[in-house]
Amino acid sequence: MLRQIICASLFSLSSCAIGRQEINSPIDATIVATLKPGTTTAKEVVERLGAPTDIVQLGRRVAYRYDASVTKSAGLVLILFNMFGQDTRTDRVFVFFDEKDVLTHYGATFAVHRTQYALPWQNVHDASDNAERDAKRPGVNGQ
Amino acid sequence: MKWPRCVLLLSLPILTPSCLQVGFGASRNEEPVAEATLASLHAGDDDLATCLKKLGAPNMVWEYRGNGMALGWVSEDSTDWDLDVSFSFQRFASAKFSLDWDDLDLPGVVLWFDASLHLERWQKGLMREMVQSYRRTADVDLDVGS
Repeated sequence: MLRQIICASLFSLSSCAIGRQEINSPIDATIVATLKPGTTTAKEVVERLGAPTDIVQLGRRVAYRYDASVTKSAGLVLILFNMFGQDTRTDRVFVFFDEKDVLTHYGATFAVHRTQYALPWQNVHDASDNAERDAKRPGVNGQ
Repeated sequence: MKWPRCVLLLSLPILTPSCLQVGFGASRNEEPVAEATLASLHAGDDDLATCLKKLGAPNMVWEYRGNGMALGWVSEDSTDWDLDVSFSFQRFASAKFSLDWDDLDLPGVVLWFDASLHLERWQKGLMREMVQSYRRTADVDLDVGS
């Protein structure tokens, strides 16, 4: 009886918690696909993607960084013992310009749609799940 | 069971957390660069365009030897334990001890490109060690000119 009361009181006082945090809007992959190295200018990139979150001077060259992130948190509060899991994925685009502000290279990673709620012991982000989520996002193919 | 004893047992889980709490957490940030992708990188043959195509956008970019550049990819898949012990020994006075086993050395990959943007070398390891030379060595003196 005593054990049952202790267990019942512990579980009746336990709770779950979830949280979600977003920084910037996800980057539109279909717009990124319109960038053409050798012809697109820095002005055109800013017109299409907006203001970058960071600018890095690289000698004569310059790089603009665009990013967005989603963090999902899940927790189990058992009063004395608490567990929390946090998963963060980002969209990132780096565009590189020459000294004439013409796009020379760009790299893109789109992953905010892969973010998942998961407790510490849960194994998430297997390849098939990522592929399924990628297929639902326009402009993203197996990134 | 006598009533006072039952009340005491039921209140125990509420009162005890003010003394002791154990936490276990997992943190996952980004996905690590696949080993197969790293194995496909060839210094001298690959350039910035092919590397960006293989690895996607980096997390960070630095200037390297004038017109060269270094690109870094970082990820985290860690678990950690923490322990909080607190005690109220007098009204308006309490003490708290907190211990966190979190490891902040994040693994990553850095690629270095020469001025012609050909892959010079790449390295996999702890970001703290690989990018040590890119850290600011001294604080900026904000009082200059005042």
